[in-house]
Amino acid sequence: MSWLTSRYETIVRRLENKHHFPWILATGCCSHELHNAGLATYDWQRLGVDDVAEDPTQCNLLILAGWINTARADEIRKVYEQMRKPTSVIAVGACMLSGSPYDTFETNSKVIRAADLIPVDISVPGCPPRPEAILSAVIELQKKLKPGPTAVEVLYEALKD
Amino acid sequence: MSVVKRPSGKSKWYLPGILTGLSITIKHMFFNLLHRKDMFTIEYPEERYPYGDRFKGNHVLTVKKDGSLRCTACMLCATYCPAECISITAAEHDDPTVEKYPISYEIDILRCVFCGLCEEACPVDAIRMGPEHQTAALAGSNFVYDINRLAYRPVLKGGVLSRVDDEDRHKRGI
Repeated sequence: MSWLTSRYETIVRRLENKHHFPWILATGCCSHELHNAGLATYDWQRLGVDDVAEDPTQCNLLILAGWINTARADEIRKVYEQMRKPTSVIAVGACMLSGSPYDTFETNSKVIRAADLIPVDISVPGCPPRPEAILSAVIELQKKLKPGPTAVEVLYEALKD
Repeated sequence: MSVVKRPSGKSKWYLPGILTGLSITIKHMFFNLLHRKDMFTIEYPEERYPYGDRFKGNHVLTVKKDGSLRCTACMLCATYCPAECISITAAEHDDPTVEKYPISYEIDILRCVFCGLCEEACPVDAIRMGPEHQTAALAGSNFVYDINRLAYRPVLKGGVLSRVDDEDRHKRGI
């Protein structure tokens, strides 16, 4: 039993890193691609992204898509502070990453980059990116969060030669 | 006029509704178990969606027959780009039949909106929108794609040959 309790942190982290509760803040055309990534064709529940959370306090994955204007920036910062730690952030789309579709034209709108507000883990370029790109972002995130090789993988590496 | 609907037997008891929903779910489950090939879901990293030829994905710089870049550094794509993401540095070539060539061709992929206007503007078929979807990466890694990434990445197997030929152009006096 002491073995289990001493490794509780590792076990929980290992399970947690394959199971994401996303809180999606999406506007614009990127939101359509995000819906598509969750629907039947590209089913992101296969990768462990679950859609059941109803509150930012239950979530550990923040997915930002579309643009951020000054009114939305406050909301995003508040949501990020409420979320469960460790929080990972996926930023989707050109507006979110560089603001390029807006800042090159003469408009009155002001677009804020996601990296200026909160720390971003994975960026997905594209305008909008395909659903595959969003799924590959989840796979990249799982690679990043992985604390180390599992016992099975260590054994496999040792017995491979 | 307000119409009041009395609850019928089917909606009063929740069980028929639940069972109808469950029967649909179970029907789909057994269908998917028995017909794996007709399944709707694409298992992404192993399976890919077959895109058409006109799909606008990551950019490809085409090459000549000898393997050098087809681009003539005319700056039309960089001028036409609505997101201002292309930056080209031109240089003079040793060969007198070649006017100039790019020593660096960089696309800031975070700014790119994949509109395909660079492909339309190019007079010598030097840049195309490729068949691959956009690639996600860790924030802070390199998102400025250089010539190596655009023209000679491993997926392209040594580069894509341009449709425009140099000898043909010189014969027509272009």
